[in-house]
Amino acid sequence: MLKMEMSTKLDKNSNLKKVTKRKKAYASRIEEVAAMRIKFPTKVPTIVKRFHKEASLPLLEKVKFLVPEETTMSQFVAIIRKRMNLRPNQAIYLLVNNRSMMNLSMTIAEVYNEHKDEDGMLHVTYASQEVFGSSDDSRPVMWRTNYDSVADN
Amino acid sequence: MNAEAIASFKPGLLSGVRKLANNLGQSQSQPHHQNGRSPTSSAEEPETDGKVKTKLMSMWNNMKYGWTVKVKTNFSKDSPVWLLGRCYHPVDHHPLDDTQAIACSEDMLGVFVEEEGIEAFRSDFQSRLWLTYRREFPILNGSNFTTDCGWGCMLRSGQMLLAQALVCHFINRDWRWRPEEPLTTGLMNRNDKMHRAIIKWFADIPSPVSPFSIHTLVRLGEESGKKAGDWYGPGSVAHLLRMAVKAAAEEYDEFEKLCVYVAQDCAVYVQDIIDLCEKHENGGSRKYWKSVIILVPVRLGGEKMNSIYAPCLTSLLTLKHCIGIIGGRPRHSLYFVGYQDDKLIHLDPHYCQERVDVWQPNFPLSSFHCRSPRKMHLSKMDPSCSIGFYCKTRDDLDAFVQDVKKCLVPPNQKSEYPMFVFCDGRSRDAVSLPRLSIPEDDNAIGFDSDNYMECEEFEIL
Repeated sequence: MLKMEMSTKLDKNSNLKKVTKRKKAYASRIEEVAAMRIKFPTKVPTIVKRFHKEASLPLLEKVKFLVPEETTMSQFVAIIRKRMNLRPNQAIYLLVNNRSMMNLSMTIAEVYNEHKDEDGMLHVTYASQEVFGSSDDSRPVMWRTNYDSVADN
Repeated sequence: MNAEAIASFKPGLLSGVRKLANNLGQSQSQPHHQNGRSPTSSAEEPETDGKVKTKLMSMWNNMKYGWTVKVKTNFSKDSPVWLLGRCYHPVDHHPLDDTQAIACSEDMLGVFVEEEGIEAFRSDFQSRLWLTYRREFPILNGSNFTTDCGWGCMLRSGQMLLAQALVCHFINRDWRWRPEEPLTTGLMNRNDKMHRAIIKWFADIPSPVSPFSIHTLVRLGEESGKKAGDWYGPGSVAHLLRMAVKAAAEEYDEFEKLCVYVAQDCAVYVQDIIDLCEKHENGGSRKYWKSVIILVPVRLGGEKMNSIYAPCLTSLLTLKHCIGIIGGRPRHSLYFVGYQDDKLIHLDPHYCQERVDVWQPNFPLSSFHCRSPRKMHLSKMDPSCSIGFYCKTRDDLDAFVQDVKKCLVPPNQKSEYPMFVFCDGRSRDAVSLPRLSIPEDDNAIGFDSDNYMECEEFEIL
């Protein structure tokens, strides 16, 4: 496999996006995806990644899928759930372009047409929910200014 | 050393105390005792360290959240203020700008404008139960905690949401707490009694008489691997509330006609709710209907809430069935109850108060109500939250399903991306519906060796 130099930026799901610095590698990936589209015109090239701050959900063994285009997003959620062996009450949320994809009756092809990445793939991020506790902000409440009430209007 | 002594230190020293406390926490693992006593000598040392750590952390957090904050929130005179399905216009008899609430049907806008002005809003806001951090409560089982300062905010927000549902269930949405008025009528006395009873159910003690205490919620959380001091998400708190109400209903007759439904994967299965609510009396033929609290955990973005959902959130708060949203800004839980323009109005649990002995007759009520509404810009909201609704009757449930659907789809999008969906039928039937079959052997369908060479890392589904 090609060894690539990676740098990171946030993608549309605010997830870490590995950007290949070598243009050649990136170009060849686009070609690869394009070839895939020709070879499998009825399958949607999809990459499924864990949200970079996710702490409770496991990583997927494989992250790139060719998904039958008629698959609905709710079916796709079921597939991902099964892959991870999640318990029924364990929460998972799928995001595409920072939108909630849970239980959509839309097919993956429709989502792909609207939200495909410039690399030709559909980028899906999965995450559970954030937890809340004491804010890391160690200043007492009265010193904070991010309460709108102080300087509202 | 007491809190005042610490407060006179400089902030630098305070962060030192915090670091010290954290280091102590890392240097040893806490022993697990059933009741907080230390029975064996081998466990004694870490126990002491644990106590010191908890003490220091508690002192730090008590200091941090113990300030009295007196800030005045201003409300614009030009736009309506919404609070859990009620609309208050700052200027009396001002025609309501109906662009404020998207997806809100016209009749809904018309109904609630009759209340007068910002004072009526304040009175409504001050009547909501405010449950905050508390200190010096009986030790939490299996830990050294006598306070939830610094970690229990999500549980407190959840308690507030449940408290609002209980007020709707046992009193009603119109009830107002008016401490300055003497209790002259029988109804007022009854409501006052109920008001106090609800607060007692949340009292910070490890006893069945307080079925929604932080002690109970932490104990229920242990079943899913959490322990005292852990942080919680709005979805897991929703499940804790469901379990707590279920347990309370088995124990006490009062809660017999109340249940909690938590949506899974952003889908509300209407038949599941009906199954939950419809009960037969002692196996007999007489049916009765349970009131239901519907909680929907959602995630509205990755790092930040996607702003396309902002109008959905505010319009949900205009629904009469809405009992609020538990979420917050990142790491800082809040209970959202209303909005004006693009700011959410909330109750903040991050204020450490001393425990009140609610078993005294006429115990003081003022620490359970917040006099100063706060606002937070919608864009600061953390994407994780749980939305709460309460439906008293079957008719309420039907009306709710109709009304809420109008609020769920973000406007001006190419396709529909609802925050959550309603499904007829039961979730277990949905699971057994013919989904896309996933072959055991991943290479089974339409997949020969040639293709395999070409698609390298791609897996064909």
